[in-house]
Amino acid sequence: MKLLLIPLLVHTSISLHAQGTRVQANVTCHEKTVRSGDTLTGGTVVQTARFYLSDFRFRKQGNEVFREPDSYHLVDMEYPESGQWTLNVQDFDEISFNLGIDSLTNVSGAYGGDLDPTKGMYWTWNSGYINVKLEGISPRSKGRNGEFGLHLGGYMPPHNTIFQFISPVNATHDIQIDLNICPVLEQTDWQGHFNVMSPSAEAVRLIRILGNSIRVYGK
Amino acid sequence: MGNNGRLFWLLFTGLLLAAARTPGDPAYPYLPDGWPAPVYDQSRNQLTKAGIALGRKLFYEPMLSRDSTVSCSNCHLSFTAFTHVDHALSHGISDRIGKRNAPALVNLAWSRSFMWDGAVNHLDMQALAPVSNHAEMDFNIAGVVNRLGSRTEYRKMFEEAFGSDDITGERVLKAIAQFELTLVSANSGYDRVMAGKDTFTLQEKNGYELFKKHCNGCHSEPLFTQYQFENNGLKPDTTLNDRGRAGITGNPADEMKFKVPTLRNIEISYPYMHDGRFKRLKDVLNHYTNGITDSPTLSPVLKDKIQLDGREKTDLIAFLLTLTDRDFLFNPDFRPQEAH
Repeated sequence: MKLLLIPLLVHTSISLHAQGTRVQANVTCHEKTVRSGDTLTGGTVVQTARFYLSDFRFRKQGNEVFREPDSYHLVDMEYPESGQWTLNVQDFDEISFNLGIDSLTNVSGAYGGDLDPTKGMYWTWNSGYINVKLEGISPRSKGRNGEFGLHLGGYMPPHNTIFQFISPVNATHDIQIDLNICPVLEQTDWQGHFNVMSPSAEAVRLIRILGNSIRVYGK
Repeated sequence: MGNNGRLFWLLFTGLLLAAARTPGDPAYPYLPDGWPAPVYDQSRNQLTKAGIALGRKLFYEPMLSRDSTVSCSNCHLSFTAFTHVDHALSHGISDRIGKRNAPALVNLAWSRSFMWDGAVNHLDMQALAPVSNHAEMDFNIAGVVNRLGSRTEYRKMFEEAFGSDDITGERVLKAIAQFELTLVSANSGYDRVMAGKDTFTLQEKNGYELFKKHCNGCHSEPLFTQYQFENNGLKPDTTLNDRGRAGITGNPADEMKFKVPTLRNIEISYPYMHDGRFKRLKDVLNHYTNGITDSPTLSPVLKDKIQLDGREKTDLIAFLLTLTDRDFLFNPDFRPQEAH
């Protein structure tokens, strides 16, 4: 008898998801969606753009109405579907999430899914998650062949690179998150810090620019 | 069959597999009496016989290295306290020489960080470093997962250990950690004396008193370390320019600090220090009595010169030899499966 309940539960779950909120996170240059290999202002070509977004919470009139369980999403410009998922929440007026992975998760061992170390977003030395990875070529970069690599991570003060994003949002259904990379590329130190590969003050500076450039729109 | 039907059977099969698995296997290493609580949190990686068996196989698996020539055991041999005996600096594939001495793998459940400089913050993640290091295995975890996935034998073992034959980076790392957590050494002569089952010789007893006076501050019983970072006054090696913990934290106060190693099985785990500069225990004691290099970060307990005459050094070494645990060194469960 109990077994008969299982398909019912599955069906209920599917129905609820169908009524939830669809999230669409895009890598953008200001409002324009960026795809791998696009040439941006100043001739910069971004080949890799990967962001960890985590701990999605929704509030209504100041009260938390939904917190996503196991809320870890690796949004990868290469795979637009990685920025699309559905949450079981409908009525809210504020959203918050983290750009990056919290310190507790950073020190709690191996995880799977989007946090699996095979994703290439984990430092094997000075261990911890890389919260954002931007790689490409820029005529302004002093790197070899104009290459640059901004691997922004670090969970311990003073180089904690997690950024908490919070914003009011007018939405009853879908939300769009723009991960705008152009401000950070406009403010990159192309002479001295075209490669950032470990926790540092420069990583903190850049993650703050990225975090402050995020925009959320209701649909 | 409709979508709901397929989902039902997938779920049903999953439930059956979960029932077949026995996550409560009594496989956890014993917790010796009087020891502090382990640091490793098993709630996210419950040890099972199948998980440990898989981790053991992976520990001895050369496919973890780029050219399939080197396994973890190349630098961590069971007979020599899981260290690279007789090699000051360990070597990996293509005879590439690393920059540090391979640390002994023992009592890892109690360690708060890993590597001589604490570069790795969790036992699960430790294996990532040698797998990817150019001078060690020069490979990557995604490549390891791909290779293992092509082997039926491994798919079966992952299913037994984790309930499905999916091979992921998380599972590879957790299995290795499970095996490593079983490497508990707590049955040395010293332990038997402390348990009232044996007695020290007069020489060992004198050595133990000297140990408590001069060494116990850093190499604290019963683990013979507190896993803290200290500068023990080694003269910097300009061929290596190893800053130790400062290389991780960037903090000048951590300059030349390295993690205090355990002294358990110290007789076997030579050469000594992070760069393997001392071959004999006598050399180590001579360093502490006559070789300390002062610096702003020198451990406070070494600021005052340690005085030991020749006889006292001999007694101290006699005590250190009581930390050899032959049950640990010759435990058949720690060797490759094929050697049984």
